[in-house]
Amino acid sequence: MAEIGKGVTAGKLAINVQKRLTRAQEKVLQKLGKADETRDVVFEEMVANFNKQMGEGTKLQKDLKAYLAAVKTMHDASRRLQDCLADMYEPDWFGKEEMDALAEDTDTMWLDYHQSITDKSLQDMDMYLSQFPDIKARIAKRDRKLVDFDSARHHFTSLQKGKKKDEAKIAKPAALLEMAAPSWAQGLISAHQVAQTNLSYNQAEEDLGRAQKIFEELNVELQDELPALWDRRVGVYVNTFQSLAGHQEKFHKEMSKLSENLNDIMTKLEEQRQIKSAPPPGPPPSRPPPRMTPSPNQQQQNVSPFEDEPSVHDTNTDSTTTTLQVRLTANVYVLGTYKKILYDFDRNTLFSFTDFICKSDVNEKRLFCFLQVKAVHDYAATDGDELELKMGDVVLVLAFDNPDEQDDGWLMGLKESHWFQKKDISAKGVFPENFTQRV
Amino acid sequence: MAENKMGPNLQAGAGIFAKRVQKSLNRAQEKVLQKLGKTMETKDEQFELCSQNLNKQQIDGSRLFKDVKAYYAAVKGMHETSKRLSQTLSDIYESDWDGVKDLAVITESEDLLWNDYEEKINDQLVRTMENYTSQFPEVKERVAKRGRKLVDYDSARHHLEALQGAKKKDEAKIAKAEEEFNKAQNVFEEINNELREELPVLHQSRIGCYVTVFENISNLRDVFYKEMSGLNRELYNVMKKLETQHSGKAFIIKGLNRCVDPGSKTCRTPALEAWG
Repeated sequence: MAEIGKGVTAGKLAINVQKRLTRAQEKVLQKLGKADETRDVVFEEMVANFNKQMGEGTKLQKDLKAYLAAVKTMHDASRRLQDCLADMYEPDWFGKEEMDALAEDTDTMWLDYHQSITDKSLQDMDMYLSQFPDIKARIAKRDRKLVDFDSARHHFTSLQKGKKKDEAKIAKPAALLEMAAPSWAQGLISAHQVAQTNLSYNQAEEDLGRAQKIFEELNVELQDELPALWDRRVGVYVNTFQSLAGHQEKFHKEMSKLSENLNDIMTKLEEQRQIKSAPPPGPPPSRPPPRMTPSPNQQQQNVSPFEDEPSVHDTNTDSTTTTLQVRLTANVYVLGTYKKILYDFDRNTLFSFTDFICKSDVNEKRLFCFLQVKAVHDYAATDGDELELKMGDVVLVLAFDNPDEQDDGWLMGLKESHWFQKKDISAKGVFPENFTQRV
Repeated sequence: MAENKMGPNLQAGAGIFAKRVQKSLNRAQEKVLQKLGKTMETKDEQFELCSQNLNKQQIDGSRLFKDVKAYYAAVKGMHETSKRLSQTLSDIYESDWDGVKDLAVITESEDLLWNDYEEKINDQLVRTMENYTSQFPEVKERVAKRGRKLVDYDSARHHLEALQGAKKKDEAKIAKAEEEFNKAQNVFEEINNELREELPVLHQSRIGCYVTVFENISNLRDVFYKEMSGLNRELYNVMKKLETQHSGKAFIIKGLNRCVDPGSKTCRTPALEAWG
């Protein structure tokens, strides 16, 4: 149709303008009820379905995108939590390596999940939706061609009706003209007039045929495609949600396993902690616990303030370290800093003492660090190796020669006054711990 | 603690012997005072460590609290978007499709599961962290108070030392200064001892808190994911049924200008009706 104006933009423009004018005119006539519209109710239903389908698809795509964004947010939040735990985790705690491996696996799993949904569901949805704009354009084109068809039809019918009228109209003036014309021109004018009307009539007929053909072509195409598309939507939805559900199921199953593992690690860590920590005892003065006869010792350990090597262990951490046996009455050359020491009575009781008393002997060559307790109650010695206590006595705690000898709740010590007097530990004895109080 | 019992009340001018005794006494006294100072320093060093630990603990605690809140928000986000997807599916699901009722049940169950998960996270995680972090301001206040009392103690001590070290000793003043010194010492020692016991315990408690939080979260996740994966499988099956219902139903016969889906009620052709 546009061949006439090809290559000549002015011409083409003119034709397009013409087209639009004609269509607008036709539409006006239709609205005014002066021209009938070709209506296809069934087709309209198809178009309605099409629009609905496009709307559904668009919403689905939007929802999927939102879901993926939430997945990413969740992943980030999850990782930040994991980082908190990892940062706090000390190397000697149970399960550090497993924890790190777990964190890695979790991270990978999130990434895979996000990726697989993006690749499968979202991309498929994008592809599905990409065909809609084109079809929508074609529906619009069909509509325009339909208007063209209608207008050509009306034009033709009006020509048909008017043909007879025209013929009657031009008859009289033509007759006059005829009479005025020379003899050789007689009949030519009327013939010319007839030819003219016939020409436009034929033109209209041709136009009509062409418009009809174009329209029908588009119409049939769409009438095939639209229902097929409408039915295909079920398949698309099924695929989308099936694949989504499948990935979700897999993801959730795996994550559940990882969570279980984390739970196990935490439980074991808790157990490990329970074993180590214990509340510090604070018993009121009471009768001392029954004394057991000391068992024969297998090892004699030489413990005296006059040992050569220091045997003080120091740590900077508190009760999470493994139990240590610390002998306190060693020569410790302390160069200005005191160290915090854990004293483990081998019964899972842990005390942490943060102060020491340092005594130097007369020639200041040695510095002794003692644990110091104060008697809060009198205690009368009931045995030869027991220490007599009066309330207010300051007692320096020593370690047992043989740890096996030590009884529950009893400490070995030396009264400070004796130390001042004799500067040796010969006057040491055992005493009940709960009769004294840490200083 | 060694007490300074060696008062400097000596008669002067008793000879070399007296001088020697005086010297050694003074030195001992000096040492004692030094040791007093040293002990105080020691305690301060260790307390300084405790205080640093406290600060770090508070910072770490706040960080975990923030992250727990972010996690909670993320879970809510997932719930919301997941719900929207389910809603869209319900909307596009036609009433004559297979599994309409199943879908409704699944959607409902998923929503309940999410709500439950959210609620538990709020209770077990967010609340826990809230309580944990809320204890720090008070403790820090007490640490500051101890600092102030320490200053009082130090100044009382210096005052006393100054009086004792003065050439002309005023017994009344010294006695009063001693009294003040003792009082300051007691006040300080009280709060110091309290904190000395409490701070390590508080520091230890962080492990318990963290372990609890992560135990809880891993437990909640475990349960949630198990249930959710079950629901996912059910949805998968519903989709499969739907697919079966609709497979092979849509076909085109060229030449007829109308849709030819026998399943659709809107258009039927006589030829296909026979197939039913």
